[in-house]
Amino acid sequence: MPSLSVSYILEVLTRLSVPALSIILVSLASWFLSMKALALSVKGEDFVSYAIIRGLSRKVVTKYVMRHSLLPQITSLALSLGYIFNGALVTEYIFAYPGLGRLLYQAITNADYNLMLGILSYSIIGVALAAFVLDLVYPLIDPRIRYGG
Amino acid sequence: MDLVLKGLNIKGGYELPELYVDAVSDVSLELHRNEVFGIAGESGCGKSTLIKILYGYVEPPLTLKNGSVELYTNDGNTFNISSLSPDELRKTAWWRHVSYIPQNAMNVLNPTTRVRNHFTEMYTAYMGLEKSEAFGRAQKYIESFGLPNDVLAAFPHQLSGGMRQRVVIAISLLLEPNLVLADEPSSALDVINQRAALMFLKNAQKMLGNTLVLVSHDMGIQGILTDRMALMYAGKLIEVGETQAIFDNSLHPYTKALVKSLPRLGDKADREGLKGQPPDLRQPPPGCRFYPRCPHSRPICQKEEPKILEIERDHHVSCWLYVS
Amino acid sequence: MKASNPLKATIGVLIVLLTFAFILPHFAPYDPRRWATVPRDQPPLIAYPFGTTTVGQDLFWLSSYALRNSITLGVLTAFVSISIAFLLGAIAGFTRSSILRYTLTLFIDSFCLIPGLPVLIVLAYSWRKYLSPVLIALILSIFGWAWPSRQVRSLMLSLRERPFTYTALLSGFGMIRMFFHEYLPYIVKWLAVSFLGLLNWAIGMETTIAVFGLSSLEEATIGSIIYWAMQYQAILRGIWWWLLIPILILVLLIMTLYELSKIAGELIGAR
Repeated sequence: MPSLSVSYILEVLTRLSVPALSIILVSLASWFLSMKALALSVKGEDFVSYAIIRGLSRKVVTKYVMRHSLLPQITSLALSLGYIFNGALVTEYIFAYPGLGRLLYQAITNADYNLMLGILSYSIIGVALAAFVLDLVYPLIDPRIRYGG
Repeated sequence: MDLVLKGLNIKGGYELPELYVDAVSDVSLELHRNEVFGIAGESGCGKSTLIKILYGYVEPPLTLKNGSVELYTNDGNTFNISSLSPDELRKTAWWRHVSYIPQNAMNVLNPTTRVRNHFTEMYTAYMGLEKSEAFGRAQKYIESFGLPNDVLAAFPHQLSGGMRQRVVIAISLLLEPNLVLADEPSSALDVINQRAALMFLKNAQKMLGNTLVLVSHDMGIQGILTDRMALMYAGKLIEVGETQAIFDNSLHPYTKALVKSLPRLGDKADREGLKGQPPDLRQPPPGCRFYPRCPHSRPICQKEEPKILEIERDHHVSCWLYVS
Repeated sequence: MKASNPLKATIGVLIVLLTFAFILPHFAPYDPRRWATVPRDQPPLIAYPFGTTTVGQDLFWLSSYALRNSITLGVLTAFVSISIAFLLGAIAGFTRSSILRYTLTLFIDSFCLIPGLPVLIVLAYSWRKYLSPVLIALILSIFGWAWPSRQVRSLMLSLRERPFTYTALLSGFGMIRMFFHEYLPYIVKWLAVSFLGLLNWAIGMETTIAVFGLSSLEEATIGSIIYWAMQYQAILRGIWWWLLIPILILVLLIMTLYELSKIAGELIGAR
């Protein structure tokens, strides 16, 4: 029975570890690629070579590059958080995991249009909300786009 | 010792896949204390590459093929810049004894950090100060330069180009080095800001008594600000000497053409230009590199490169016209 | 050039795959789709290089046949999607009429945001009786065109605003001539790279809905092999090759296509 007991939580974690792992492993690749491309382009920028010229330690220069590369990644992170509400359709189907995705599939195969509509609206609102929050939060991390600044 | 820097037979360039660009070829020069030394020449002649080699910032594809650069500090230390790695230079000579103002200095500040952090991280890195103490020192330092206090709190994109340039100049003088290498410190600015930035540099030099190397293609700036200067063409040093002597008594044909092309008050005659282009440094020609464009060329100019000779006191030139 | 080694390897693998998909099926000694043609559940042996399935199909010939179907389906989808994408994107980017531009942009962006997979599943499920590779290709195209179209649109917009456009216009070049002479070569190169990306996407997407059983089940595709393997509980019964072989072929195909599109992208980027 669902409760806040340790055994229940442990069981949930065990059950979701393998499906989560399959999603993580696949998405890791694209995060790697985009981070590599970003870090490479940031490394070539003038202010990075200036930091090296000034004699700042490798640690500080790496911090600079990381900070700059992370900014676009945060955008992607926020949007992918929004996609949580989409439900991982395929993964949940294959692992028979009782989540939103499998519910959506069952709605489709049972021609339950109301449920389908509900879940899809839920996911659209989720993405839109994530984008909205991102717009509000982003100026706090990137000083270059503060409004009116 | 009167010498601050001695460069001997510097040969360096860019190692690209399957070819080598000979950007600086056999350049030797000596810099004295308390002087402003100019390096002039057109785009692509190797001035910036030379400065990077003098500073020791040699990162691939830039390679130093030959030569040595030695730095002599006021307190008697010698640093062999050409043989030290960037990591070693960072711990010993950089910023304390020699600093560098890169080209395009308006864009070298970190866009996501406030100006004051640029200063405090220098204090923290070099003097081990705590952040609050570093902040106080930075404030006093900025004020001593006559820059307004609110510059520190701003982000780089909130400042004008001229102000950013002055900030970069101020950062370069932070540890009062004996030698400051300035690569085109004013080229991207309008004339008003140009004057402000250059006066900034010149006053600092007078006050601190250091050596300032001013790289600029603008002969007007060279004429006004420098005590001695060198001219480069296609990676070679073609003329070195006191600025006044170079302007009044140009020896090399290129220098003569360059000086003649400068506008003068009252002189309404047509300006002439030299025809042609500098040679392709991927396949440098065997003889004098100015040969195809020189109006006084001789057969030997095409075959052999002329050596640098002292023609009058502290006025050297590399040209076959003066060898006989 | 040092970079030609990955290129050679990629092209080599591609040729192997294409031979496997398009030339080999003609030599099949029996119709690979028919059940009970060979002994069931045989592991990979010399006689049956990829093993056999529980319903008596030779996996070797079956997967070569299926690969052909998958690739053809992908190519068809990519082709239709690119055509729509180009048409709509080019108009949206090129037109001076702001109403047209606004409406088309809205249309394109909406299709980008609609969650594709659920809608695809709904459509495929509703028409599951009529699914054939061609129909699946058309259904996939409904969503495949959206993102490339967005990119074509921004490409067109930027080309239009470049200085060389104004210079040419002021010198008397007509807009239509401008389009065909100057823009088209640039766009066609970009479209070629996009085509490869779309091909990859289409193959992956088709496999995804095939896993749900919503693909053409009579005409074998790589995805449908996976579906049937799952339906017959292949892993649990120890018939691992039935699931592993199509997955390996799929991974190999997608990796090769990806490498190819990356190389093509570099070729275009290098001026």
